[in-house]
Amino acid sequence: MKRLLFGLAANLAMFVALLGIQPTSWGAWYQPEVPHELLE
Amino acid sequence: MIHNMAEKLALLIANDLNFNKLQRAKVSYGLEIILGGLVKVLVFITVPMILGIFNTTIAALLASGLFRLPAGGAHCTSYGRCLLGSLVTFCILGALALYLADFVNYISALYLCWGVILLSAVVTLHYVPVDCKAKPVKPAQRLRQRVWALGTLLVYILITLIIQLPPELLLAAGMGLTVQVLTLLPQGHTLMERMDNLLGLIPGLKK
Repeated sequence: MKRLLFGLAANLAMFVALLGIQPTSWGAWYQPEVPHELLE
Repeated sequence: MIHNMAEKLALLIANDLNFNKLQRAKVSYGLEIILGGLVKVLVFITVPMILGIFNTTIAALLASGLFRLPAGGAHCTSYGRCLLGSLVTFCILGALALYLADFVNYISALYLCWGVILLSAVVTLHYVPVDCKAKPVKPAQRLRQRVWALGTLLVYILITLIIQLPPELLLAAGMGLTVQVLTLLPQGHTLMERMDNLLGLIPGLKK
C-alpha cells in the first residue's frame, strides 16, 4: 500500500515537474530551482 | 521550508522505489511546485476572504499570474518572502480596486483596463520572456513564450468584450497586470530586490 501511494505521488510529481519547465515563471514571485537534468 | 520538505519527501520516495538521481530530482522539483502551490492557494483564498476583498484580490492575482506564466519577471529569493510580499501587494490592490470603483464608471474602467493591456503588449514585445537563473529559458523557446504572452493579453481583451465585468474587477485586473508588467522592467527588478531585502528583515524570512 505504501509503495502504491509513493508511486502515485512520484508519478504526479514527475508530471508536474515536466509541465513545470514549460512556463517562464510560475504565477508567483518565487521560482523553485529547476534541476539541471530537467533542462537538458 | 517548502524546498527542504520536498527534498526530504523525494528522498523518502526515491529510497523506497529505488529511483536514480535524475528521477529523484524530478520528483523533488514536482513536489516543491505542488506543496508551494497548495500553501499559496490556501493563503490566497482565506486571507482575502477574511478581509472581505476576495473577488477583487483574485481578479488582480489571476490577471497577473496568468500573464506571468509566459512573461516571467523579477523574483524574490525565498518562498516565504514571495508569499508574504505577493499576499500584501495583491490584498492592497484588491482593497484599492474596491475603494476606487465607487468613483469610476464601467466605461472608464474598461478603457483603463484596455490601456494597461496595450501597454503590456508593448512591454511584451520589448522584454518578454524575462527569465531568471533558477529557470533559464532556452533561446529556441523565447519566441514561443512571447507569442504565448501576447495571446494571453488577447484573451484578456476578448473576456472584457464578451463579459461585462463590474468596474471593481476591471480595475483590480488592470492593477494586477500593471504590477506584473512592472516586474518585467529593470526598475521593477530594483523594486523587487528592495522589497526582498526589506522582507528579509523579518526574523522568520531570513534565508
